Amino acid sequence: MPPILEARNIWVVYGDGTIANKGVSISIEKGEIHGLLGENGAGKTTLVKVLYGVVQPVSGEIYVEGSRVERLTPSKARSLGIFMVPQHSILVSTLTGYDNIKLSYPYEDLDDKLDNILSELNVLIELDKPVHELPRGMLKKIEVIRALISGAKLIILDEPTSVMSPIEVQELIRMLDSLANRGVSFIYISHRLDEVVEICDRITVLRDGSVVYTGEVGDVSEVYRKMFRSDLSYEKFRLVKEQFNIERVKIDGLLEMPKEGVHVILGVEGNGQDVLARRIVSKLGEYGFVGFVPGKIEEAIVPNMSLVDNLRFRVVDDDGLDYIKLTERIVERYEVITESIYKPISKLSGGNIQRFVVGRELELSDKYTVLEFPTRGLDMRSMKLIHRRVQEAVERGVSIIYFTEDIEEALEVGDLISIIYRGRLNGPYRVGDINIDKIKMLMSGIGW
Amino acid sequence: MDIRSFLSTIVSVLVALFVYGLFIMYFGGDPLDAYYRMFRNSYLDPNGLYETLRLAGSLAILSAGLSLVFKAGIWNIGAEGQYIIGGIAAGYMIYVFNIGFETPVIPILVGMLVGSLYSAVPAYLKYKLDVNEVLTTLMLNYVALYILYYHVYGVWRDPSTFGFPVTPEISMGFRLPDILGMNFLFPLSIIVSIVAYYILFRSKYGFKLRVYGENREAAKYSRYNLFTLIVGSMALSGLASGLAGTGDFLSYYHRFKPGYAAGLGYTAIITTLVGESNPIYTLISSIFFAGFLYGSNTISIVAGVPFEGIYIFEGVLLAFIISRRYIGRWVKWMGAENS
Repeated sequence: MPPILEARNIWVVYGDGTIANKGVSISIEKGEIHGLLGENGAGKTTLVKVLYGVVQPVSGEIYVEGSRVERLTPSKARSLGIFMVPQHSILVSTLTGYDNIKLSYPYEDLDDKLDNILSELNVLIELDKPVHELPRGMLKKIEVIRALISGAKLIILDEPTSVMSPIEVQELIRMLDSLANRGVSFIYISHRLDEVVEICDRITVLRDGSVVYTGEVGDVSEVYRKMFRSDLSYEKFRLVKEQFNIERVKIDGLLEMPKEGVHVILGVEGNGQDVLARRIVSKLGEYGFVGFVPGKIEEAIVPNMSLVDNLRFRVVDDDGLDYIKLTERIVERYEVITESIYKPISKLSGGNIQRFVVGRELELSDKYTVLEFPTRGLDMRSMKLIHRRVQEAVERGVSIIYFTEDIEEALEVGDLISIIYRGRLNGPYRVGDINIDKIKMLMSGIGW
Repeated sequence: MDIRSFLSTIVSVLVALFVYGLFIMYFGGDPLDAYYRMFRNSYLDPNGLYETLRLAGSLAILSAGLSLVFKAGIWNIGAEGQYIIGGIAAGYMIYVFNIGFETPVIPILVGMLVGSLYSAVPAYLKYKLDVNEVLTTLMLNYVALYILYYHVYGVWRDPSTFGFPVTPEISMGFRLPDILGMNFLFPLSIIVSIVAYYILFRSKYGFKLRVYGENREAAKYSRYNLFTLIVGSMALSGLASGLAGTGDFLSYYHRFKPGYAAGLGYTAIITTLVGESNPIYTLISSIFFAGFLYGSNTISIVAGVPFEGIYIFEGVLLAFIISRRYIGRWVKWMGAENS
């Protein structure tokens, strides 16, 4: 039986000369969950865009169930049974899950088909509520169901678990497993190796636009080593700081801020982090410049302006700054990959934009910085880099509020930890005074 | 302007000329001959050139003002009304208040100020209540138009004209002189365009306007003062429109008549968009459009096409300019296919 989808020797060159895919080949069998791994900018997104027909490769061949497809477009891909579930939900937020499905499959047998699929799957799907009221894990499930109803044979999932709680991840994995057993194939893009090991049958690892590994998952550390350009050692972070100088700055009675340290606000996204972050930023703004990385990174950039101008717009009234030098410094220290600092920032890949913004805010602030999920979607190497820079900022005397969903990350960077759940804060605890089980319980709403 | 958007602008203009050419043919004319004669009359004939540059001056001043707000993503459709109301305010300085001596300076300054206030109102409503500026500025154009009619048909009508709806001619002391054989407004428009360019691309204020235009959230995120951005840029734009309206009154018409509201404020929207809201480019597009506006008289004479045909040209062009991004992509695609 031929593979459900096969791509051979795909080359993609963008208008600015970037070669995003260098002769990539990949094949996905029926009923397979195929992991796609790689650092930011390794070419994962480009590859799936090719497979879904959004980007045309300059050369290479695509076969669907053994027959060659010319000039693939998204609508052609869908008619061949290839569907894409993007990282951020594209459901209409005011409509119910059912209506969203109906939008893409407005036919009479919808109810029958839906009943069939749901009874076979044996998962809980909330279809009668407007989707903006639903947790993210549910949205992802609805999007998968929607693709199935429309006849999906292969579903491409881009970072499906990036904003999910551990329980939601488990539920999604269960659902994908049972679908795979029924013959549906998946391409699963992720940074989270543990998940990939758990769920994927085979993986393909990309590095610098080329395939460096494809096959069984095998040895995890081997995979990890392949993903990154070189073996790097980073200094270990102190879990508990000996000298912890807390000058408690009260923010509107909301939370305490350590002087020269990191206060982590830990919790699954959507529990009020954004409101809290904005409130802290506006309150601290009375004391001068506050570095701020918002949860939606696109609010923090001006897409059509150069990197230099994307630094300048933050501090345009400050005449003493050498914008060019500072931009160069950020690009270097945060490993932002760009041909020139005068290129529009929108030409950069998502991970590079994020590292630039985080770098900009950390480098510009001398007192306070608020980081809302600064490492979300970044690979392990970038994450470590940002943690290191955060520590350096702290040593420079900056106080940091750091929002994250990841317990390990919280313990690694934090001096103080508070847990946020449904708009309430529990804490602060000093790292070392709280055990991980308690954190887990608080994060899932137990023990309040 | 990069090469691609330049090419797509040229393509847009050519398509609009083609469609307008079909229109000319429908009325039995020869489009190429009509365009040639139009060009000759507008740019090569001394009288025609004077008129073309006068129109170009008004359009360029209006466009320079519109560039500031368009770059900030604020859609001021009210240049027409600000132009008219500025002119009428200048009229008050001449017809109603006697300042004792005759100078164009005071009417001009008052006209600019009132034009500015007139656009600051919808801007403030947008800033404070998030009222859509497209609707308010557009509606205020009609308010201004009927205020003009009230004065022309009513209180300021010249009794010596036996009922023609015109106001008395202003005396020599109030008029703006020609400069080097050109209407006063054209040299002035060059200065205004340079000043607007400087504000937009060389000043911090202009930089903030562009950031605000590109990404509202980013401007709020950097705590820009939105009052100075929204109301300030609209007031500057109204200032320019008021200057154009007053300038036409003092340098060219020397009186008011219903035709004083000639729609230049609307045409300026197109010249600004064609010039990508860059005051230097809008100066060029204004000269082109002025030739076309003046020359459409020629076309209506030589080809028997109604004067209003010009609006077909403007409409088609506007549609293409707005969809320029897509045309740009198409141009790129064609290039890729050929290479």
